[in-house]
Amino acid sequence: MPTVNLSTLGYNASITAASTNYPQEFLVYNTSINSITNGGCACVWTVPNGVTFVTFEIWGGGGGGSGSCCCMQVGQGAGAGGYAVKTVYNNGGLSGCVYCICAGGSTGTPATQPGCAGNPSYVTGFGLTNFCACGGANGCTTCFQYGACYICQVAACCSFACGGDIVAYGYRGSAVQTQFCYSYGWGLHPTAPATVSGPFIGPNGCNIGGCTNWTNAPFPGGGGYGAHVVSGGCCCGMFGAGGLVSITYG
Amino acid sequence: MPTVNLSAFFPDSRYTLSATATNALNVLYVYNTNTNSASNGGQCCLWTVPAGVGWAKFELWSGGGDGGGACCCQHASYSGGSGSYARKTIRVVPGQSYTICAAGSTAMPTACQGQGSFQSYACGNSSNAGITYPLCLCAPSGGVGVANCNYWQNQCNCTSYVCGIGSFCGADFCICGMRGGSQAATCGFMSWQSSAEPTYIGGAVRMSIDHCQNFHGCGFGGIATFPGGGGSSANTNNGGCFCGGWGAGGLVLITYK
Repeated sequence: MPTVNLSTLGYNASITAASTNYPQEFLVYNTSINSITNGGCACVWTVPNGVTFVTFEIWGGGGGGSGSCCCMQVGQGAGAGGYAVKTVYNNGGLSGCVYCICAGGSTGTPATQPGCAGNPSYVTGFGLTNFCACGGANGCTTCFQYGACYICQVAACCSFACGGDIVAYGYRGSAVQTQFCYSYGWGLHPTAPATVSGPFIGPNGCNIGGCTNWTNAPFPGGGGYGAHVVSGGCCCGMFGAGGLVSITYG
Repeated sequence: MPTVNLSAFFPDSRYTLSATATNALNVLYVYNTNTNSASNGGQCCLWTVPAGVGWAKFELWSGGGDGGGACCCQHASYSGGSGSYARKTIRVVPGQSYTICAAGSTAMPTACQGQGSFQSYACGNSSNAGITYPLCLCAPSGGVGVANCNYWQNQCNCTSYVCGIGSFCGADFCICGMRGGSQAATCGFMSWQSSAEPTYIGGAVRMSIDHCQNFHGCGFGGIATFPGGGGSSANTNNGGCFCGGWGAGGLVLITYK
């Protein structure tokens, strides 16, 4: 179960915190990290008195896994969101500066193909230009190895990030496909940079599911599982995890 | 053989861009330097806040889980998991002390289930001149790996996003480690194992060992990546037993000013 500890710094409280003489950190994200289409989280933050630097660390949301109907398997795992870090510094102080902060939401879980693209996270305000971590690429499923019935259409490349002192792209997913039911087929669903190491691997070719019975993508920014189906019916892919914004100021 | 260049682990811009010759930050690393050894014992110390210092950021990685050992004809069910990451920034007072412990690496078990892993932590509750800024920061260590006879049937044992052994405490921000995965298969092809890399600063995953070559943690399974990477489990398809790979030790990083 993903865990993010906000026990001491719930973001509402932190946003109204008084100035300090030491760095403090708070997080902005939708706390329903295990829910589909959670809407993300957005807020406006005014820098308190006495602050000379602010560091923003952002993760875009992960892409959603693709649904499947018989007899499809993962053609490409959903991608991870991008990652960026930026520090804004002003020796004369940043007090009163206003920042608009947006953490991307989780995706939906379609039973159709392809999956949903991930949602971006971003921050705007003084000292930031085009500061954004894009959402992960959508996953796709295909009948290629079971017999061509659907052509996979996916994002062209990785999930970009921009405007930071450091940026890291989120990888697009991959898969091993097979013509043999009951063996060997599996998807690779990347985790986001600067989170847990990855990739998130599974399921194999004969596991049917996706709507409810798979593990959630790692928060923040992990790509959701795609579905495999080897008998009747359709299954949806798993949702991509939401994004996150960390703000450290002092 | 992994190399360790700690300065390369932390190139991020937090605080450092604002540092000048007159307000430079100080950084202290606590870890056992025998990063490529099993059972290295970790490293503990008592850190006393130097004069003139007003705050400190503590970051820690707990140790990775060890892989499971195997006798013929067992196969990796999954490899050891990575240790979790946590960080916390607090006010400090010069003269106040904190106990810092970086987890040790694990042993190389012969049992089919790994034997455990170790947590890193940073705690203190001392005072100076009547002022106390308490801290108790910890993170779970990696889950253990397992070898099993049941995975000779072709199937994927998927990776899991689990925090591992223990719990978080006192963190502003934390990220769980991840347990490794594997694909078992009949001898000949398509068998692999994925071992978790360090949390937060790691990249991708360490793929390892084809079961048909009797690879094992003792020598050829690949060394867990410091800090906190998970050890590989063993595979064997003929006589003899092999141990699992060790889980990497932990690290505590203190940035202060």
